[in-house]
Amino acid sequence: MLSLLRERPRSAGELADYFHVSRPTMSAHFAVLREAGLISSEKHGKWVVYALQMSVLEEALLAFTQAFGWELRASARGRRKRSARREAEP
Amino acid sequence: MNSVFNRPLKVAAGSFLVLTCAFIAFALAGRFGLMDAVAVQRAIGALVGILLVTIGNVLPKLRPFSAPPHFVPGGPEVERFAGWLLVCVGLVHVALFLFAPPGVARMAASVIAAGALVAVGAKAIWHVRGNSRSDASTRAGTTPASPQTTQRRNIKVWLLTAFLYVLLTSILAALGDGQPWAHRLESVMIIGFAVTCAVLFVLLERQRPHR
Repeated sequence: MLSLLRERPRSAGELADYFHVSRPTMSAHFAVLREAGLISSEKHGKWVVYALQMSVLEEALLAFTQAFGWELRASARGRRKRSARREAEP
Repeated sequence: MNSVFNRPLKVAAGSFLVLTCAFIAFALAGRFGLMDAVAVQRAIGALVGILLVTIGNVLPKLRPFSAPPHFVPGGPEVERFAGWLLVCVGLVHVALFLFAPPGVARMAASVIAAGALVAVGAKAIWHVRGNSRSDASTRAGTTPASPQTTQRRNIKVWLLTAFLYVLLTSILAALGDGQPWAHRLESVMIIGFAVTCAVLFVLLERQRPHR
């Protein structure tokens, strides 16, 4: 959700389309993120628009975590490939 | 009072006050001969760097120009850019004053900080010009300002004005160390700061919603 909001502010409905969870679950997630001060909500007519509200340090940590997660996935993929190759060898 | 000062505002205002008190303490220590002049310069320079990092870090969260309902189109982009730039410049500032020779550190740090301010100003002008057409459509449908949010926004504006004044004074003091033009400019800056405060007071009071 934070990655999506990093691109631009989005409405609640728009965000909900990306996740296969019920509306109350989404609302609970929004509430947690808002409580943590990571996102802000603004009412535009009948729409609620959510925007990212992260400090520079929080954004850097998010980017670092994402990069680290990607690294973990990449290394896991590499490990799987290596073990598959080992198994294929006679 | 508690609801007007939310967490980012508390962090920004608190760190600004603490660091400003520390500047004064170091300046007084230097004046009364309790500390070496070079050590005072290094300490104050490093503190300015820490102030830049602290304010820059919290700026995108503080949202002085994009928090609802006082939304300025392009505000979030400018705040994010300014935040990142101030943090980077602040870290360089601290490193220069801790490790470089004092003369080099003073000159380089001031030029970098002044450059960052110019870059933020240019980015703000660019975004305001680019988004001025969509202003009306963006504002349409937003909730009206409550006295509390207006008060919060006003505190943010005052805080940023004071921060800018401290930063400009430190840049000026470093660039024109002992020069006669620097003394003249310092007095002009004090008058300018007083005039800015008066204009801000009138502007912000005009926008304050009546209860």
